[in-house]
Amino acid sequence: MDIFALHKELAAVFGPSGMEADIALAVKERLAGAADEVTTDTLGNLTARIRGKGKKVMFSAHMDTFGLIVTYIDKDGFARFATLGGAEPDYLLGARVVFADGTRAAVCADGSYNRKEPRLTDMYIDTGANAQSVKVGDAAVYGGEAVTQGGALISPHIDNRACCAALIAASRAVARPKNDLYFVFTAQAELGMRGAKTAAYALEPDVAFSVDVTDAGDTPGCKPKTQVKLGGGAAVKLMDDSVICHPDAVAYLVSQAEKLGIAAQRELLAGKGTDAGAIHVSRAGVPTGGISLPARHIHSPNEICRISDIEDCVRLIIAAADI
Amino acid sequence: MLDIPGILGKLCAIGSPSGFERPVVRAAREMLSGFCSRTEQDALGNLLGFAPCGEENAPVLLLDAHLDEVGVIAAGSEEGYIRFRAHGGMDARVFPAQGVTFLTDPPVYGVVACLPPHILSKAQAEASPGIDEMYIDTCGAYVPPGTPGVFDAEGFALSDTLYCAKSLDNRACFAALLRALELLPRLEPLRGRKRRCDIVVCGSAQEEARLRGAAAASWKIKPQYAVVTDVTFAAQPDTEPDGVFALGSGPAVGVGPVCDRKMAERISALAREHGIPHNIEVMTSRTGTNGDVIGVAAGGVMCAVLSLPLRYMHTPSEVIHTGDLENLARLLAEYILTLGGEAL
Repeated sequence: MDIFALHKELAAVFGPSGMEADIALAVKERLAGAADEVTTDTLGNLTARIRGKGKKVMFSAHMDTFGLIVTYIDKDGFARFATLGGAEPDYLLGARVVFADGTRAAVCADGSYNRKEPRLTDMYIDTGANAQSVKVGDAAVYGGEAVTQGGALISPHIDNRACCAALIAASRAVARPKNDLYFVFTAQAELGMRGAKTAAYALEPDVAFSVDVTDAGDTPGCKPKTQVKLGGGAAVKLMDDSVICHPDAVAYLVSQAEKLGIAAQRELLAGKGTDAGAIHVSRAGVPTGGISLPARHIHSPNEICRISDIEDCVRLIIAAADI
Repeated sequence: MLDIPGILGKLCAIGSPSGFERPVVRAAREMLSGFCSRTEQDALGNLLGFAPCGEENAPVLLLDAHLDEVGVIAAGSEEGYIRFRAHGGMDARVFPAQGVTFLTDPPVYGVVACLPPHILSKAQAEASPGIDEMYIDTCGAYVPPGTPGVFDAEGFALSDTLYCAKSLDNRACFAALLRALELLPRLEPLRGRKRRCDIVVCGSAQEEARLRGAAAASWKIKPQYAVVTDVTFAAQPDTEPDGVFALGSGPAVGVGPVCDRKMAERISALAREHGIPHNIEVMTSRTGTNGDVIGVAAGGVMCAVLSLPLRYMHTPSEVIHTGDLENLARLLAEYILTLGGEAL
């Protein structure tokens, strides 16, 4: 199966932070035949192991997505909400969302909404005729469909389903690995890497790589400025707000990319973190690196990346497995 | 039957802010020991009580209620007046003219100084001074920097059902845990089921100081399940309807990513089945309770959060409804009896 089709299937599965059961099942089905064993844990992480004799290498890609959670429903059935994960109100206004049971809805602004100072408290979810099916505590995610056009992927939940697709594709390609490989699809990353924290503790890896999206800096007026661009290949993480990557992990990724002719770029992400942040300080410390997929408009209903960058990430993950 | 107002009066009278939990742990330990085979105070100041069920390989359930409270810390003295800092999240506007007890031995009493309205300038009257501009009048008594202090506030019954005291956040929930333990043996014959999980009660320390006590305790115990009990916001005329709960409307069952879905669903179902009044509280991202750290201890802990509505949080006059406390205890006891002998 090509990587676009795989991403499209995964992006359509409901799974905001804390509600990863459906996406875990979808990932598990797509790992069939590739993994020697697949396990789940208390927080909802899914781990696929491919046995090897060497080092214990952990790859982590979070499978939860940004979402909305209903906090209050008024007498007319309009739902107020909070977010699961960080949100830009600008991105939410007008978004079409979908609940776990398939109920569709729109995110709208009320009369006190101020365009200069947008606040979530001035917005609501309108479910139209299905108001009665939504309860306080129910969650919704962006409901759009993934499309590809001229090598670009436009889709909700590229963060981080495109990276889940990359990890699945890589796991299928490493049949008899040198190292003992653990592909971990983590829960609750959007809430501060909670899944990666317990997964890394349980696993005690010798080395780890987190696979996640990173902000591309190639849009008009982009702040903060960054060199990462769409089509530049897989991004080798040097640091973000949660981690300074281990020099050996960085050097290995850079040298493998050069040796194997994988398009790659160097990445410093500002203001955000990844699973690597939780993993590298687990127990007595884990040498940790990051392989990132450059993406635009992260956490909006229409994230954009390049298919070729996802494929470069797959190649770099396969190369990293031999560290 | 436990005398709940008596327990609240006794626990809330004790000054024990975060990091200085020994006095409250001493009293709470005495109350807890009758329900446990063993109790201890650990290195961080947590009170731990162990109540095994006697079955081999029974799952371990951690019941958490923090025992520390917010307060003040003496920061220095100027001309016999004590400068101080907030110890935990405090609103500067509640301080002027409050009585404060510093926990020296013997205690030093003081009053947060303020000017009478008659001599306030217009600018002074409209100003909202910060805690760093205030001082405590101890009539010249010296208080070493670093000494903790708490508001002077005797607990009292505000009505037949409402109780008012400082530090009901969160000693009211500790009282609810005691009540749940008392209810358990009475509930067993009614439900035709013995308790099949080991209980570890954690009267945790330093919750108001970034949840430190529960973090350490949960790593030590490594339970399969945890129920965190803490206070939440009760409705009053100035609150928005979203996320607050009327006093007397029952405990709130937390729903959100930190709260295990199956646990929350089972607890709500039990409340409906047994006619226990309750609310659903949406807890987005962090809950602000010990659940945030217990859930991610070691390889992960399945966690539920049960909250007791409370008005005027972090003031000398916190108010709860004793019916909510009783219903929280009932709901917790019902839940405990469903654990064990099966996978959740």
